[in-house]
Parts: sequence; C-alpha cells; structure tokens
Amino acid sequence: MSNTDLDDLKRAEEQKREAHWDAAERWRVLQETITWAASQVTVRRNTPQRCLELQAAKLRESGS
Amino acid sequence: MNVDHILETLNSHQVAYLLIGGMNFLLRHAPALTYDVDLWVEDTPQNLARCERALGELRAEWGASQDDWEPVAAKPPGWLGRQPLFCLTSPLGSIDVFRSVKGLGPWAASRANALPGQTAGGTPFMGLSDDDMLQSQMALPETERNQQRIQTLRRALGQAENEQHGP
Repeated sequence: MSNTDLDDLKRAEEQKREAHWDAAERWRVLQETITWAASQVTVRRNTPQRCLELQAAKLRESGS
Repeated sequence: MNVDHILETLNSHQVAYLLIGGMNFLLRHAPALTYDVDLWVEDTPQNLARCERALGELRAEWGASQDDWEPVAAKPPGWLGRQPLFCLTSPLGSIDVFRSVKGLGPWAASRANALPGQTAGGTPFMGLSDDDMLQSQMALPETERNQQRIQTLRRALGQAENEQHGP
C-alpha cells in the first residue's frame, strides 16, 4: 500500500470512528484522559532539567 | 482514558508492541494534547492473534463500515490482518493499531532502538525512540506535522549527541 493510500486509510478510519462515538461517552473518555495525563506529571522525562539532575547525581557519585 | 489499563492488558497478553504517537511523546518529553493511544504491533500472525485477544478484553469495537461496527471480541480471528491500520473505540478511549508506520522500516528495527518507559502508575512499556518519532513525524504530509513536537525531538536528539560526544 502506498503512503498516499495509507494517509487516506487513516483519515477514513478516523472519520468512521468519530461518527461512531456516542457524545456523552466521548466526553467521559476525554475527561478521563485529561485526568490520566495530569497524573503523569511525576513521570521521568527526557528533558534538559531531568538530564541535568541525572548529570548532577552522577557527578556526586563519582566524587567530582 | 486509563492508559495504564490498556498497557497492562497488552503486557499481560504478551503483545509485542511499541507505544508511538502523542502518548509516547507525553510520557517521554512533555504534556501534549492527545486523545488516543497509538500502538505499533509486530506484524506476525501469532502476535496479531495475541493483540486481538487483548483488544477483546479491553472491550474495543471496530467495523469495516458503520453498519458492522461491533465489539472486536465478536469478530472471527484474523480480523487484524485485513488492513494496515485500525482506529478503534473502547470504554477506555480511542485506540489506534498500526501494523506498519509510514516513514519507518521494519518493526524489529524500531524495537531494537526503542526505549523502556514507565507510567507514573508504574506500568512498563516500550516506546518508539526519539529518532524514530522524528522520522515518522517528517513522513507525515506537511500540514499534519506537529511542529512543536518536531522541535522538541530535535532539541532532545541534539542533547543526546552532545552527551555521546562528551568527555
């Protein structure tokens, strides 16, 4: 399947799913998703802040 | 959407998958507006069968058309083999299942470069690497690319290169 065909299939699949969602159910799921995403604040991320924290910890361990 | 429950179910069924898309970005880099879980599954008959069972347990629903939209648990085995990607509903939220990902090579190659991650709830998963995330973004039509995500990934990859070449 070509890339264009894949793009078309993805769009068609998304449209079909959107048409199927019950509005109230969709709203409930969206609220739950936001709650779950907010709960991920403590997850270890690949951010400059996190890298600097790791670097500082490694420097401490090495006695530098 | 309880993403932990989705990942736990896939893990318990031993599905070979990679978390891709916005959720992977959210867990690895920064909060992002995303409302579905994107999964790239290894495209073998055995793994697709495991994935079908996991999706059935998650009470996911899909149909080739609006008319035959139904719980996937009711479908005859092998339905995941009929097309390269699927957009499903479930009581936990939208789930996208990909058997191939545009812009990327074989699943095994991306799996070799994938990064282990863990949600805040402690659920382990394997996520697409930053390099592969960037490649898949760049393979999208220009109007569908997420520029903020691309910038973040480029910055992260630059940092990784500096670390590798550091003293």
